[in-house]
Amino acid sequence: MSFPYPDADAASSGGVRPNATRHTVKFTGQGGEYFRIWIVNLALTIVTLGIYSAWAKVRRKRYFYGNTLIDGTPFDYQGNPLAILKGRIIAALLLSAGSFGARSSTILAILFTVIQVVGFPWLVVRSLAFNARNSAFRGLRFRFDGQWKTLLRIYALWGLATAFTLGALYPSLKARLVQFRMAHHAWGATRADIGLLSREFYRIYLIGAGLFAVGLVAVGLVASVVGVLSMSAATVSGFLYFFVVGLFYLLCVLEWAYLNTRITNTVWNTLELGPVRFESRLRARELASIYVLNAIAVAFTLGLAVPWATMNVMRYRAQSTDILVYGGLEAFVGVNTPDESPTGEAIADLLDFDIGL
Amino acid sequence: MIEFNADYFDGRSAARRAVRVRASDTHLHVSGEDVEVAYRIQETTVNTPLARLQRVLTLPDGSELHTSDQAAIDALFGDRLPIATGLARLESRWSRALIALGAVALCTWAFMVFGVPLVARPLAALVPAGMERTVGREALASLDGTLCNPSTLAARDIEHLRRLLDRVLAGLDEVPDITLEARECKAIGANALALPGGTVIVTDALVGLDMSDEALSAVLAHEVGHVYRQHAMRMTVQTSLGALLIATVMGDAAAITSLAYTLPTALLNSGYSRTMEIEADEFAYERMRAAGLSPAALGDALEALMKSRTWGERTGEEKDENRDEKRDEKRDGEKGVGKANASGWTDYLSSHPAVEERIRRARSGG
Repeated sequence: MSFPYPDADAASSGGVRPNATRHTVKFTGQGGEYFRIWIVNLALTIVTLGIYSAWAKVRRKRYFYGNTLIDGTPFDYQGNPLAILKGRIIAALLLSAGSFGARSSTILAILFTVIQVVGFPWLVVRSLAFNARNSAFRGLRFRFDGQWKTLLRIYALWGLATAFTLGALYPSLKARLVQFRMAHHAWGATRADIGLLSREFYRIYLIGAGLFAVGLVAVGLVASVVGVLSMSAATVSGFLYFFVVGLFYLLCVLEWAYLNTRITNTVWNTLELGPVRFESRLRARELASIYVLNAIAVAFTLGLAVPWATMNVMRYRAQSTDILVYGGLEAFVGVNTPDESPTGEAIADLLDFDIGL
Repeated sequence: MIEFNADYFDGRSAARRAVRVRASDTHLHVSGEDVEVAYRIQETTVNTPLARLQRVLTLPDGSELHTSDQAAIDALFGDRLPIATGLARLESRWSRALIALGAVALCTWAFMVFGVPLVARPLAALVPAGMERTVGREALASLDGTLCNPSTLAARDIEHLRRLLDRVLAGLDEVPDITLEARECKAIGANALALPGGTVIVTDALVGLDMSDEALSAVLAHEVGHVYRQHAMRMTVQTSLGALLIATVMGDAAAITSLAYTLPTALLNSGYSRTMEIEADEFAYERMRAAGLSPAALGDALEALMKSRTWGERTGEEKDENRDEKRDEKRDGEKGVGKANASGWTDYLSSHPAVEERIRRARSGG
């Protein structure tokens, strides 16, 4: 670890620990306001046959970033819609060329498969770099300097290992992907650092699998009890069906919420950014109940409640995250010469592909 | 002179300085703690307005001014960003948002009602016949496992039905491969179903209604219409396209729920199936005439079926079974859509007053 502030050095070397200032992330987005942006985005995207979608994406991201505040200062998203549009056009061309080629000859099909396999990590890395470079906080931009070859190696090694062990090694794959994404980010000149995650991930997925199994048995028991009770009346069968399917969906949501919250908490609580630490306190039950209520609202409004639903999730995620600053945020510095690696940054700015890990 | 408060970030460190900015004709004068600089306005760029978001001025040396004073920034830079300013105005009023909502609803509706069926027809034609038959076979197997049992009709009766079917098929170019199957399906009563790939199922109860041969022929011709026009496959394609569109409309919320598109798709499906019933009816009229039979017989058949439902012994129990089946469709995609179409007659007769209309049309000569 290297950052040039005595306070921070003390913090990490276990010396005299300066008092941390705690900031809770604040989300100030409003459902009604976001609804108007969302619906205008939608209308213009339809009217322009999809071209506006790049501008829509920038406005959406700007709204999310600009309403996420730490210590009263919002984040800022500066992505250029034209770069996003270019990325989308190229991705669409590649995809259609791939499917046409695959139909016309086997060799082309194999060639395109290879390109897609190798190209995927490249696209992911480009996308992360674009996003980081266009995200700023307090006048300093983020950076992402992961290499696509590293990502390809993770996919090849741990992806295959996961496949051959029928998923048993998935936590290792997931841990390495998260480590790759987090550890290659920097804010200004300060690099993020993250410890090993695999052990904790195995624990989370094992407990998750156990809970799911218990849940399945419970749903089965409830179903058979209700089934026996209602054996006489054939008309109840429809209700039973609904009831059991509903229970199963609920179980799936709970399982998803458990994994998502535990993984997120682990990642943020392990992450270090110079003199900054994070504290994520997401709770599975709360996240699950937000999702269930959102799903009901969205379904009964034919989708019109989507903006409010989105705000609910973002607000919950923000208010469950604390930032602990040892020293002060002022101490962070930017990259000395802004055009340190002009080509790399220029490429990052050229295209964006909407691909995540 | 325009003046506003701002946060100043020098771009080299994360330090935040509260400053006061005064704009002269050519320059922005920034002054505050440790800061006393001036920048040419012409070399300053500004981000576009969006809701209550802070405006960010990027200065020539890479430093930034963040301010919430929208009015001051609009006054200074508004004429530089005519489109963006208009866009923000569009997003700021409910009345305009409602117009956008109307446009979205209109386009979605038009696409669903006109676009999807238009695209679905050629797409369904692309589905290989073998695949259609496989889907049909699976649908039949799942019917046999649940709703239907082997027929108790005499071989003679089934043979009679086959002859009637052959008669309405005669003279059709590109005769689809039609297989007639008889089943005893208590749950769906007097009914006939068309599965993808060309299997037509007739229930024992339908034969038990003692319809005239002409009316039975009309029922068979209607089912052949479903097969001939590839309704099951078209339904599959239409449902997928519809779901795709709704998923696009939902955009960032796709993760929130798949429940969101179950409801609209279900609503649309009933509309699609209505159009398909009418298509199958028209096909039947044409076949009847070609075979020298009266199209009005379809009206008799529909009436007989409707009566069997209204006054028959099958009551609440049967309706529930039908509902079960509908739910199956939604659950298991292709196979289910096969069934969706398969349950056409029942659905139709039980839930659509349009049957009266169809009977009238058939009686007036198709």
